Amino acid sequence: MGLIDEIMLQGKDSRLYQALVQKNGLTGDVNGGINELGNMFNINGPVLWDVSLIHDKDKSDEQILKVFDAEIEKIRTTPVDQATLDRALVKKRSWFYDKMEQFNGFGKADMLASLALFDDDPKKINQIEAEFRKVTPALIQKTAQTYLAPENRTILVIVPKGDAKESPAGAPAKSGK
Amino acid sequence: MNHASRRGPAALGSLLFLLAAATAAAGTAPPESPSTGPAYQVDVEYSKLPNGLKVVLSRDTTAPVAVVAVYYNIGFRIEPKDRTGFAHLFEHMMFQGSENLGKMEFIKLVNSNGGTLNGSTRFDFTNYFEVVPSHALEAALWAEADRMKGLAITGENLKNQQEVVKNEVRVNVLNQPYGGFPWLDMPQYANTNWFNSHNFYGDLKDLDSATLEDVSKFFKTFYAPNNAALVVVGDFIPRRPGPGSTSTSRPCRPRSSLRSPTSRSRGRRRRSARARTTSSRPARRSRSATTPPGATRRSTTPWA
Repeated sequence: MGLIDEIMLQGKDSRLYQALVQKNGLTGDVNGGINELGNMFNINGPVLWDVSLIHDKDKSDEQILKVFDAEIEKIRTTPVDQATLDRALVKKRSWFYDKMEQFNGFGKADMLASLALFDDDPKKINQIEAEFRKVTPALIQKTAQTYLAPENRTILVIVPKGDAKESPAGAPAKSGK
Repeated sequence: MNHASRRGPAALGSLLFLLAAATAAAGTAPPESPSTGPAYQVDVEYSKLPNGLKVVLSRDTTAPVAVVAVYYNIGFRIEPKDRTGFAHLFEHMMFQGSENLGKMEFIKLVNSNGGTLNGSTRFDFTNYFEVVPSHALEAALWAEADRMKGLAITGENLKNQQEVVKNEVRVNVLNQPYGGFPWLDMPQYANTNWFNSHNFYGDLKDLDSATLEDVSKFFKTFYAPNNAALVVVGDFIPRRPGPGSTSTSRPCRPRSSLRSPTSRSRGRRRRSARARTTSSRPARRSRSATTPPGATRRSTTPWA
């Protein structure tokens, strides 16, 4: 999910940003990632990959989900090309180097501590780049099919109190899309 | 802190060097593909103390600065069931004084040496760290060891921090438009297993219910050296490991039976709606997928 996150969500070249912000103007920004309180390394066990956005009242849930779903479907069904994968890898490596220098070395300490606590092997920090480099378009697709499946998804809509009645999303507990 | 202004001349020097290197490389070798080329290597020395404390040393002498990070294997996913928010409340207690340091003295020790410090509670760990000038490293290690060995667990400190934490919840969540969105909200809707789906910041009544006995028990259960990792990064001379190991102090004893992490549920398909106060703009969040365990674990899918 590390490179899928880069392809789909991180940065302005990401597919969800391009689709929801640039092409369709449905929101001003798209946020999220793996592990809301950290990153894919400082977590032990299953964790959510989440995408969140804030939109104006004149944009409907249905409009947004339609664009969102199309991008999810695309990564599940169409293998990414090498250029896309290469760009994701550059972004991930850049993130990693940035983390190594974060706050006078705290970023590095955070990763080493997590690898020691959860894997009993902090030396794995030196395998991270190599592991990302092994990822293929086929593995991206297989991973997307496994984890970005509709039955593995939750949608949370938060509506201001005064708008609850007028918004279709205000209806209690709609069944999942 | 403004790093940019301090780094001006050095950064320019590096830039010129990089440009020169790139020019030299251009004529002799094909451009490097993202999927090949050299990988960054981090200096890592790993050992365990007799009391079970994991110690990681990573030397980097670029600047005369050192980071001390102590991570305890307790996050809010496995805090006690009737004590939501307790892992975070306990984090606050770690700043209220220890065996040999009075209230605020830890913070003064670090700050007066030109350092900074903080701590945080996350899903699977609680961390404490100091960034200090290298010469103050030993003092920081000693202070971390001191609070690992014994805390000032008093009624006054607990009452004080219960109020502090409740106020933190009010400031960040209850009195904030979309407060806690999405980090605090989403797990409560996406997950069914209590460990993943409870209010991590804590219900105010649970925070109020915490007793000194709870604090003591939590400390003894989770804040043992064999449930922690100490990392030192930066400019130091590798010589002597940290908390619990110095010959001048009473050893920090391991705990014989550690509670193992509880199973964590997967997300489930669901669509929810709820009303919130303030702000005229509706917010929405779509989330896909519970992802596999952390990237370094087992299968290849985390990397993809």
